Amino acid sequence: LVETIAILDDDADLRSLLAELFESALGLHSVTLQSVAELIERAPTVLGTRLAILDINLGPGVPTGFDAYDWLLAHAYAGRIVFLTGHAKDDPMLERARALGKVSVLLKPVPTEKLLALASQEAKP
Amino acid sequence: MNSPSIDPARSAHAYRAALTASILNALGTPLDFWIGRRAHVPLAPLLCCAAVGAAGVVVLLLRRGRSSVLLSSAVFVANALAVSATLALVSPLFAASGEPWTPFQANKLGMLIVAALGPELTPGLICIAAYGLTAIAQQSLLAGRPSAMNEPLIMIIFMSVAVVLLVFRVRGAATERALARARADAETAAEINRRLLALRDLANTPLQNIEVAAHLLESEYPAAKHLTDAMVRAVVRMRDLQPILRG
Repeated sequence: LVETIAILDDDADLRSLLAELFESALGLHSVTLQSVAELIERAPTVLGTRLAILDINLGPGVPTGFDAYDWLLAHAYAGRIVFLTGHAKDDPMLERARALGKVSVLLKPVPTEKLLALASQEAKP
Repeated sequence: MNSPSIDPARSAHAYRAALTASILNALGTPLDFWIGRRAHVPLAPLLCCAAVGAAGVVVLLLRRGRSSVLLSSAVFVANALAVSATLALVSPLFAASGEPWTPFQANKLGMLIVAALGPELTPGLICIAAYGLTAIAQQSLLAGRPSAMNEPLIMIIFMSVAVVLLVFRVRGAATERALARARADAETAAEINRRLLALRDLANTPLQNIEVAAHLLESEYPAAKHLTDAMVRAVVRMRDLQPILRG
């Protein structure tokens, strides 16, 4: 079993739904992560993925998707990084996300077809 | 424009002005008795005037925190009218006494105090007029006094300066209040915006869940497509609300 997608989101339902979606529709396995701490804990698996889908706001007072992004870059992550966030288009957090290099920003709710196209393009061997 | 009762800054300023003027009257007017002891100035009018000031202090303290601009302005004007009436009574005594006396100094001081403290424009103008016009009306007392050579011109200049100072101060205070209101409005708007942004962040993840869940359901139960399509359409409609929420 090779995980090719890393999903970081504090919402357990969304993590499992996305993982199930990618597996059922594309046959791609995902590693699901609740927090940046868990992402670091599972570093070998995460760094082996081709696509990282990161939520920005992971709960009050805990490291954010930006911290995960910094960690991935610091560890020479070779895959594509995408922020999947519920923040509004004009939210200052998104301005910050857009200013980062080598990253895309998707706003929830994203049409499922778009998510599948992204995973298919970036994560399929 | 806010009404006096709902503008706390305006009410507070009017209250402070009226209280200060009342205290100055209550404590300062009896001093005239000492100053005018050689002119045989009677005590009664001075005490009456000071009593008006003391009454103003009592009324204002009883209404502390609840005094309207109208009440504070009324107390302020009552003080000024009492003082100017008392000065009109005692000035002839000073003039007739033959003692050294610079005419209408108290009237000029009163006008400057009004310019500095006046709670609002109209009450301030009434007070300046009271001090200035009572003095001008008593110009006959000044006949032959070298210290009053340029009266009533000096008094008119004092009145004009007091009016200009009052207008500038009242306008400045109004601008400051408007700025404070604008700042408060901007802070409220920013807070509402922050809450809306947070609300949207919280609301969008469940929508994403429904979107993906509907897709999975459709894959697993193709016969239920009409149901899952309805769910997706609901999500799209919710997504279309975003620009409205953005305002």
